[in-house]
Amino acid sequence: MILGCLEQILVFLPMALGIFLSYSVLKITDLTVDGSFVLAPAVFARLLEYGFPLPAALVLGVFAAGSAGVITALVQKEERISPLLAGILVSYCLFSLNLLILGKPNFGLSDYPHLGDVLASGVVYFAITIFIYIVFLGGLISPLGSYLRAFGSNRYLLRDMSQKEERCRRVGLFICNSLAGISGCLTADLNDYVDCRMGQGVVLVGIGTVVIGLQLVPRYLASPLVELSLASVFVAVGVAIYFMLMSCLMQAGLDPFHLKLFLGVSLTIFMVASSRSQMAGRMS
Amino acid sequence: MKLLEIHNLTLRVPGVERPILEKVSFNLDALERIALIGANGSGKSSLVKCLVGQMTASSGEILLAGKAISSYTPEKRRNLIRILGQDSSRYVFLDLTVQENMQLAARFAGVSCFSSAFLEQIRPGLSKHLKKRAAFLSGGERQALALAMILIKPPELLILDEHTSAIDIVNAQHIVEATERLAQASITITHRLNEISSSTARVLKLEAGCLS
Repeated sequence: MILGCLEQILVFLPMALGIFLSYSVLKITDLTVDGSFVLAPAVFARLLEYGFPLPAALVLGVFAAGSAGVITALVQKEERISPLLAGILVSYCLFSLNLLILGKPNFGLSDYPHLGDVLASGVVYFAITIFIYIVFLGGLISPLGSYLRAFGSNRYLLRDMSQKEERCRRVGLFICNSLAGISGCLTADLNDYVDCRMGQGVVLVGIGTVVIGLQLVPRYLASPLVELSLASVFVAVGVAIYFMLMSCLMQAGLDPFHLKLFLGVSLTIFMVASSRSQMAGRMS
Repeated sequence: MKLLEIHNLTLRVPGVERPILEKVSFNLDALERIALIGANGSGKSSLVKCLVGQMTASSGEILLAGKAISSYTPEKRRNLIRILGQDSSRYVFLDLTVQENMQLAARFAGVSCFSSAFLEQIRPGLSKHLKKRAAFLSGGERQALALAMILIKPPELLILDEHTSAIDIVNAQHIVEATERLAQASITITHRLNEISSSTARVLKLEAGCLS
């Protein structure tokens, strides 16, 4: 049970980091990830079927997911459509596209190579997640990172400074959805199948875990970089809390049909508490 | 050499009978500083919006360095004309440190780096806050940072739109002095005469959309 839970945490972490990037750094709530979480494994699965090597299929699947983010960025360009609505629209279209790519609602992967073929799958997931974390934290302090943080902080000033701020949006959402795609591929690899509905609600779970993680970070540290880096680490704690709670509830015999209701209510309570503490922080 | 030429600028908006601006004409030489005063609703902000391309005049023309302002791309226009208004949070990246703000401004302006001495020129003591998040600066410090980010590579024309009205008199004095030292041509828009610097060559008064 613990190993299964750990694997779930590891495969979900890239997704949580992607949501953290869009939600906390870019300050865009991107719902496209519901669709791109499935798009990547759908492309991944079909390419494996066509005989592509596993790494190539994985990279192309992740690239497809990132491209979905770019499409969302183009739809919401200059906020002509609200980012929330743009994400829902693209995610809605992706549902059909994913079904089209898969050719059927459920695609088994047991006959194809797996990430755990050489080493234990848990070790591979761990290595991938650690690698993503290092690149992510390195990216935050890079010029690209400060550009993306500047976009989240004041995108209109970027425009005033003659910068193409929409490029930031495209790059940011590309990274965010690529990370969701990685999680999607790892989840498919772990579960041995791709299901066209496997992305339903993952964005909410992702936002929930990010909110839980952010609750644990000391607010308004002097250095924004230290705060962001700490927050991205605490997002992992948030993911761990979420999946362990879910695992405990299942073990305790909670009906799976009631699970989403229970978790939804719990996340709502967490989010309300988060917004209250933010308001208190601003007033103090 | 004329930097800015405004000829018979008239601005009408649908549903309003009286024009917002009516046959406004004036010139600004390179390196010249002028002030534009007028009561609320006299058309000062609308004139700025026309200058930066946020509003299109109904008739008349605006020439910047001899070329119609509409012929510039938005990016080019923003390179030539920068605005500093009264809400300092609009002109800095609040979630970034002072140093990161300046580094970004330097990079975007094509300047290799910025020095602490430059920040001190803008406002004494500002360089002590390099590691501080812009959100944690006082209003005066933040406005000074915003000015430093603009003046790291002075634009051809700086529009100061009531830029000292939200800060105290000491901070306002620092900002005015830094602008006098480092800015090129500028238009100071205000409804308070004490915000006009001593180096201002001319004061234009806008009344009900007309220059008087």
